[in-house]
Amino acid sequence: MSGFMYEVKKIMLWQRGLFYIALVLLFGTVWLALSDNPVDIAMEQYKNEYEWYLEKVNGYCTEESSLYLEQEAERIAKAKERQNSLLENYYDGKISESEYKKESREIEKVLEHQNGFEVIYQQYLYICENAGNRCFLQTNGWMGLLGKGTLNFILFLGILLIVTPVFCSEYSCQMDTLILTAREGRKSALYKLLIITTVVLFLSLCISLIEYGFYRFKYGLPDGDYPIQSIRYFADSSKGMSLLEGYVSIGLLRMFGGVFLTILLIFISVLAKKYAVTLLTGAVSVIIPYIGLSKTSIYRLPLPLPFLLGTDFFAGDIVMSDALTGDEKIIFAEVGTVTLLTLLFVSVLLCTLAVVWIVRRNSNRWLMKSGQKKRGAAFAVMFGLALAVTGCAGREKTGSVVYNSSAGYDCMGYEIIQDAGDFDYSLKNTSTGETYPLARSPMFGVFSDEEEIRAFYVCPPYLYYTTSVMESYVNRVGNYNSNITKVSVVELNLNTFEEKTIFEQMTNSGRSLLGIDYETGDKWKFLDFHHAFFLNDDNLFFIGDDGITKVNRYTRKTVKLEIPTNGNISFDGESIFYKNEQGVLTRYDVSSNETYTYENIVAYDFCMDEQSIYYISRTDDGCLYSCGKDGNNKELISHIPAMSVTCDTGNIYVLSKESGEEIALPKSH
Amino acid sequence: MTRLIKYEFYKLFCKRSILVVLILFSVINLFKINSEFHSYSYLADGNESRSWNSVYWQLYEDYSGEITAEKINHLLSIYQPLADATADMTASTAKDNPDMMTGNIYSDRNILDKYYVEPMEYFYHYRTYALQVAERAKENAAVYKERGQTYEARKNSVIYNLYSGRSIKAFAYEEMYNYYLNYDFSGILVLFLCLYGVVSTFVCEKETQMDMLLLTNPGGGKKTTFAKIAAASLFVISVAIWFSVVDYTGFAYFFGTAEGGNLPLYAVRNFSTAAVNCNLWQYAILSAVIRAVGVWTMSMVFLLISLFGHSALVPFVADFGAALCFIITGASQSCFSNVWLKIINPYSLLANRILFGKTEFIGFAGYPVQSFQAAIIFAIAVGVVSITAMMILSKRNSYCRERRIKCLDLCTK
Repeated sequence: MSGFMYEVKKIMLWQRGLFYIALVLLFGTVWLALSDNPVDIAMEQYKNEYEWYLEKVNGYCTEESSLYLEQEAERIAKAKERQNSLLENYYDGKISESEYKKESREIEKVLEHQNGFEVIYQQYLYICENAGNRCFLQTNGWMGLLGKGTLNFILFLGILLIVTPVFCSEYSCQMDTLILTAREGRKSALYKLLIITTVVLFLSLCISLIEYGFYRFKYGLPDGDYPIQSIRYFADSSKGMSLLEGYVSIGLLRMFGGVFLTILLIFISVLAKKYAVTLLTGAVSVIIPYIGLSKTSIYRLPLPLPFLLGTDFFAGDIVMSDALTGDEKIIFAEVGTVTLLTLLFVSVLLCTLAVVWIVRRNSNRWLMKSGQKKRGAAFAVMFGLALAVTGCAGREKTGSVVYNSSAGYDCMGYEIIQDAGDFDYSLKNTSTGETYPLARSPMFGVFSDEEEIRAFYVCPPYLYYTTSVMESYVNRVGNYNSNITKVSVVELNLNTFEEKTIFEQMTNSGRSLLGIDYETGDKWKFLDFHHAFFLNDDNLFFIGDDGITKVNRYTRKTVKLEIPTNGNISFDGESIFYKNEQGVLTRYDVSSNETYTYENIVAYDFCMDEQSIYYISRTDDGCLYSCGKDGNNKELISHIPAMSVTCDTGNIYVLSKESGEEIALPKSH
Repeated sequence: MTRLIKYEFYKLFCKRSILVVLILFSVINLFKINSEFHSYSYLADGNESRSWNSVYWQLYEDYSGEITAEKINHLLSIYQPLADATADMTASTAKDNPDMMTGNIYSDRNILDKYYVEPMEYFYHYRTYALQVAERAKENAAVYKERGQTYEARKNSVIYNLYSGRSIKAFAYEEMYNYYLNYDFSGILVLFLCLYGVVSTFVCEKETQMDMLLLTNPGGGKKTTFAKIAAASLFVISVAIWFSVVDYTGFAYFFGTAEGGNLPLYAVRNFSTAAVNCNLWQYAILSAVIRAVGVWTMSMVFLLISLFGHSALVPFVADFGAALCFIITGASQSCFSNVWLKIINPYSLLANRILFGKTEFIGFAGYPVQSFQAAIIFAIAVGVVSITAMMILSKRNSYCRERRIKCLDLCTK
């Protein structure tokens, strides 16, 4: 066996190189799969509808595509308007059913892809900012692949593990001097360098390919020849390159970064001959600039870090305006091509000098040091921390209750009242008249106006409420933002007044974690705009202006439900009841995701309790009816034309169309 | 034993490489503090007569000290006309207006607003806010007592005692302390240095097989292990304290002042619901001690992991990975209300504003324990458990002749 093969065997088997490579690839893939979220959620959710429009405008924004989108926007707006009036006319008896159905079909055809249109129109607005170098394309795959300027910690730790023992193991047992006496000993350092460089290149290449394969499989990576500026991360970049060229360039830079780190580690290990010093230098040379320096500075240093990150070499300037003074401040200054090439040249030069020195050091000098004995095999202690980071407390079974978003809350003898002055919420005991602050923490909302209660849900004996809190300590624009906005769901036991937080989530992205940008994306943005919510044992449902978002309490998976929220929303623990776009009462089963439409119930408004649904019939002059949850056993309750209906345990309340007064009707009626 | 600890300390930590890293990290830390000043403070604009820095310190003479109605009225008499004149954003944007302190009307309004009006308003109103909290807590305590919720009643009583009587009587410059209290970078440097220091504690002797030789010595075995642990503890505590001193002096130097040290901790807005009633300078000392406890705990865990390694490689990477996990989970969970996660993560003690910035409790046998108290107890417990584990897992000096004779004597008796 040649000396080269002996070195391969030593590094790959005895020093567990193969094991670490497999570990890095495995962990890297698992982490990628677990941590990935689509950057544009709507584009993913309405993929088919979006693609329908994309087919028509794919590529550069031409006059025709621009005209088409503008006309389509107008067409959709008009269709929505027409749909509303058509519905009114039909229920008012001004048009016949056949006329209504005929026109409805035409309108539905126009609105068939409207969710996808909203996504493509947002993209169109972005492209209009600089139509010369931005194209219409599916961006989620490319954003995931290229738009992450964070360090791959798994690869970094893997390189530390694989590279450090290559020379250090020889020094720790003084084998280095013995190797030089062997026939091919003097080539040993060169072999080692060659092998370890190949290993790191292979590892970096594999990770790049795995990422490519993952995003291609999950979202697709179409139109790689479009300019890199087509995705927002590179919006203001002055580099003229395609997306695929960007991927290849970033991949090559990352591979060079890996090699640079490898040579640095070997250089230090030959210089210091100690594991600890080598590891410390490797770790410090990457982590300290990463968390301590601004991005602008990082990308101008001849260190492995900027190359390991890679992405922002091709990003444009980021400029923000200072809130206090109004001055514009450059958060990130684009790395010019000359700067990049200079940096690359200096880094390559440093690597070359280091390699020459390492080879010379291991071939021309006979090193003698006080005795160190043979190195034993390392006992692998991988410290896996499985800290529960969900922030959710343990939960008991939630009881059954019927929720109506338009009705008041039956809080076991309490009434939720809001102070007219400071807008604080309190609980008023209806029998004694005593009031208690709703938020049980005495500190809540006292020191900051940014702490507020947003919505309620009652499920006796629990009252749930959501809070929104904003914190910061730096209010100056710069490299380090400190803004945090979080939304919490708090459970208050109305018997004991004990409270606990059952859900918490950070919603904004204006924060950095030890200097590293901490992006939350737009996954949780809906929490900032929710105005009501309800829950069951498995899910939380947040009602916003544009729909309901279901959040799994265990996995935190979010799903946007296509439910219009302009009317009452009811929930009986299993199904959500709502009026669809045509005013027809509809039921959505939250566990089976099935939708059932009550074809015979067209309502102005409705509400429900445990047994019945009460609705104001749109087809019957606004009379109030009741029926079972299955839509059967229809009964007329009141023939007074009404506009809205709510109910509590004993009564049904209708708002009379004629007098505008609220009329209470006993349920036993 | 003291001599053994001393020897171990000299052997393990009085090395050129550690000294070099210590100096290097201290310099990096000072650079970072300087960059914090320039990134965050609007007063980092030089010493020209019309710079914010000069204007601020000129006005400071007039408004610092006890907050009086006269000072507030005087401040408002300057600020209000500026606010009115700039409200509709039609005032002149000239930057050389001789009537303005900074040369520009907007700039004058901004400096007064940010550095005088806003903080003084907060200081002035703090007493009312605290009173409101105390009153609420008192009411809560009564409500919970009525409902038989002893823990909640006790917790609210503690809050009442903590907040009643809180007030900020004087006005002073608190910007430096705001950034000092929110500075985490040196904590990472301390962790790196301690990791480097302690990771070789056991493995350096294993690499040279000195560990076998030590077992033949009367002072070897468990005694040496204990001496190593004691020396490592001494080292990490010294490093933590050193960096706390560098932080404080660095901030005071670059911000040009340590004014405001006598303000209460809650004078810093970010600490409005602080868990302790102490002054800012007292908190600086408390923070240094707490940070030392956190670093000690993490170092003891590092040391325990390194006990199993035969070279520094795997223990270093494992410790480094563990430290990254602690840091990332600690920092990302710091704003959430799950107190237990903060308590069990020693990073909370390093960046201790996570514990001291908010009044949070956990229940223990029906009694409320403040999060920082629980975190300290937990950290010390983890440290002690790690030390015990190391003592149990380390070998006895069974090859020592004296010990063997002693054992034989015992057996024959």
